[in-house]
Amino acid sequence: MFWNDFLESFRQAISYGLEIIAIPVLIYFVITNTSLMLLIGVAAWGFSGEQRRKDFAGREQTMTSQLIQGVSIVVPSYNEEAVIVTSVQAMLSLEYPRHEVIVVDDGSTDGMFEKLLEAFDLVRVERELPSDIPTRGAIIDVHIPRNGRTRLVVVRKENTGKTDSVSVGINAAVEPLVVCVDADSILDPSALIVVTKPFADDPIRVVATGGVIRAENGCKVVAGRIVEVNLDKHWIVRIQAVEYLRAFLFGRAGWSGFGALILISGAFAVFRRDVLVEVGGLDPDSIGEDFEIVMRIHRFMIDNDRDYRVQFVAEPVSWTEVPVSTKVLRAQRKRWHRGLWETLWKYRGMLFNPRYGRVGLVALPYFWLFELIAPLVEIFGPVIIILGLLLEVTSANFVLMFMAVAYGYAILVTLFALAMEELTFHKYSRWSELGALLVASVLENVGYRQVTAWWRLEGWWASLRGKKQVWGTMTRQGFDD
Amino acid sequence: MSVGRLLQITLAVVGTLCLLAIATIVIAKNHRRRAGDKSRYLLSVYRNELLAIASDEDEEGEAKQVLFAVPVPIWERLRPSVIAFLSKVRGTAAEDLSDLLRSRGEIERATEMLTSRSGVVRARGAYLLGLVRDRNLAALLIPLLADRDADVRLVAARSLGVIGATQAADGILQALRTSRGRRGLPAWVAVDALLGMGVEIAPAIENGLTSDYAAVRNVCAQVAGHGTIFSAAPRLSILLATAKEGEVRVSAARALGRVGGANEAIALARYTNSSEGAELRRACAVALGELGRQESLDTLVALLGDDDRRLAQLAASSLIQFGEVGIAKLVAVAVDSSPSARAAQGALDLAKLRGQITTDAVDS
Amino acid sequence: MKTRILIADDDKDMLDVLAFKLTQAGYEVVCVSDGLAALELIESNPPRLAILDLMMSGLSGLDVLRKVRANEATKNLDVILLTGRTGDSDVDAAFATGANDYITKPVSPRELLHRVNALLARSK
Repeated sequence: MFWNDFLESFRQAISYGLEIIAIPVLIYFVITNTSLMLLIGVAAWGFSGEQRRKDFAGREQTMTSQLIQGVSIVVPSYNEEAVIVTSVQAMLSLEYPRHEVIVVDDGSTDGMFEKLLEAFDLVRVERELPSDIPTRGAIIDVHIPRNGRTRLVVVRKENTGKTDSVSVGINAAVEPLVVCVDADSILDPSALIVVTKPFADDPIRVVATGGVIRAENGCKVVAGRIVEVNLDKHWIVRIQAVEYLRAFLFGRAGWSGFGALILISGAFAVFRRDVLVEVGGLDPDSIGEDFEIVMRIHRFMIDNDRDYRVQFVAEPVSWTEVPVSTKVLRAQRKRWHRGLWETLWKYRGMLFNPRYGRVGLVALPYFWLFELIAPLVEIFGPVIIILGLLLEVTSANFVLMFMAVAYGYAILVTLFALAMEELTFHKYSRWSELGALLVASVLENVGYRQVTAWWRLEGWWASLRGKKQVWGTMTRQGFDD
Repeated sequence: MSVGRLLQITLAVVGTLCLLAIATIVIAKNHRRRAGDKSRYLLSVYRNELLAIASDEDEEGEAKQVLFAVPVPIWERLRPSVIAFLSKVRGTAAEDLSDLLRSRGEIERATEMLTSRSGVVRARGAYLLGLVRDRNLAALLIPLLADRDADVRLVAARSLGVIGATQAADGILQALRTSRGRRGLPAWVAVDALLGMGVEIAPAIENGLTSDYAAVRNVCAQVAGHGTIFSAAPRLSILLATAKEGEVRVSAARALGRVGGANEAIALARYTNSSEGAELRRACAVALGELGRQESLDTLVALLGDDDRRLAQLAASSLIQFGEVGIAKLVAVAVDSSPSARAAQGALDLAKLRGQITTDAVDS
Repeated sequence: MKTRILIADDDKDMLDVLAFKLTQAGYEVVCVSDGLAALELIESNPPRLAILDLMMSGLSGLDVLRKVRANEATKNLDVILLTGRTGDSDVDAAFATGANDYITKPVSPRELLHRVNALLARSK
């Protein structure tokens, strides 16, 4: 008797709670998906404009311009002997009138330096690096090719991590624009010209630009270049390819068009060197490096009443290998979400602050609500709805409604992004690949989303726990991959 | 409305849109494939004539005669290809293609396009007029610099640059301004166009150096430098001294490296002072190297010991540019292990690697 | 036997014009539209001279040139680079990588023919 009464009160309590929560959860998914549609729409509008302008203001014309600012490519490297020589050769022969490659050897213990020494006939030179950005690791030496003309600089330093190495690279950079690239990234020959065009269009205002990264897995690579784009055969990679299309390509382009781009994919972002120095370089204590630096630039520029612009260039220029194993994928998503949380928290002062315009009033709240707590809703939303069904609070129709809105609509958004991709860059040329992408769009919603949401929560939780262990100050905890 | 009803509507909408998206993908892919085939077929009949003209093989003018006489519907389909070829060749081939277009009344047609209601059509018209490179047509294009469509303004500027229409310089500078929701002309387009016009535009450039609009001043400084407009030196000096924007001062410094004289060298030396920003100091040090005036030697030598090591390096490489006398100064400094000596040695090492100096000169 | 020339450019119009010009002049011309195809052809069935466009996606003209010069079997191939750029540093880079000659776009077909003839005569 007692047990039945208890169950009944429990049921009433739950049903009361569910009635309150169920509809907001539904609305949450509607807003998420609709906002993505809008972003994709804004992006598509921008693309069609770009396509029309190709004859008049296309790439060929920009390349002959005198106004092109030089680019320093910083390559922080640790134990990359397998790829470094091919990679550096490919970077040196990028199509651009004036650029240099700076390899920062972060105390590698393999034969990476020896390989460079031999391949490029390096000699040691007397060169002191300016300390525009404070760095921690001591510089060991600087080498350049013996002919004195090939624009490669190899800086060896103590092992102090990637961020510090990037800072050293920025110090060593002599050109006004800086881009940081991983040693195993693959770049299209026209990558630099594409991603620096906004700087040419508006050299006074543009301070940072970001380009698109695509999944390299499965593609055919020759001499450090992608010569054939293929969709990888692993479903986990196919789903990520779809994710990248939707979020990186169109999501970013949309925000950029709206004028509130706060997240540039770190793998191919170009910054003005003087601005990087002004804001103090990368934060070595931050995991969300790329996100953090862009937020810092936004805040700095607005605080100092500077007229500026962060621009996204919606053309694929860079390729990276995406995780194939769940273990690596898990570590990546944990790290991303942790970085997101820590940076959002660090810049919480900008949230809802009218001083910060669209960034503070639109982009940041959006990211807090629809990126940060998204995994919570992703996981507990369905749980609540199903629980409601079991306890007969919500109807079967409501559950189906929820699934249509949360997953069906999500599939629609992805299909929309795929259609945009087909109309613009059409990199995946085979029917079989398009079919596979379609299937991947569906599969993504049946397990992948939920599992990655769980991992994101894990990363967030790890960060929160880390903070609680230290009184007052926020120090970076090593992360357990 | 019941949940069930709402569900039906949602499913219907989402389902239909999904099908629409898939249909778009399929149609786009098909269309692209077919479009490639179609244009090649159309061309093939007159392919030889077209290629003969475009590759400068039509000495007798036979091919031109043939294409001059084709009926209008066929010409309409060939026209885009003729224009495409014109944008890719120069010399006699380009002249022949231009003549062909002219003979078929395309200039008049393009002129009419300039008054179309559609921005895309106006832009295409302006583009063609630029390709044909006829100075007489410049007057038609200049008003387009103030067109309401950004693309049209861009194409007009580029076309005027290609034609070399000096009377358009002021208009192009005006078009740099962003006003009333109209995006200003991209800087590189303006610089390229102006550089194509030669020194006749010097007055317009000098005027632009005193503009109240930063982008105009910046562009004029660049043009003055790359286009070696010596008469702009005094105003560049003023910009260097007084401009509010760091970028403009840097552009002015760079330009002075090309067109400056004795007075400007003094000004540049002054702004290598430690009270100035790093970027400006560095630009001035580089400019002093380009000017190569004896009076600047001491300034540069003094910078070798500066706290800004990059500035020291630039000063050292500027001294290399002076030749023997600069190298001698560096050798004289590179005797101990002070920061100045290190900077000097670094530049000497680099110059040796490049073969700019022989080891004898250094070791003696 | 006609002298074989390879042209690599992703712009079909350019390929057509240059091929026409050189064919009229008595050469046998092979056209490809990407760098990888050019490289494979050079390695399997070497032409006497190759004209490579600099700006191609995938493998650019410079990438192909680099590989060709690095390969013992093909390193003496005559190569002319086609490019839209005119800056001094670009010319330097082209010759530093081992190009025999360098032509800017828009191309003068007559000039190209002269350069091809001259290069072939020089390296006979």
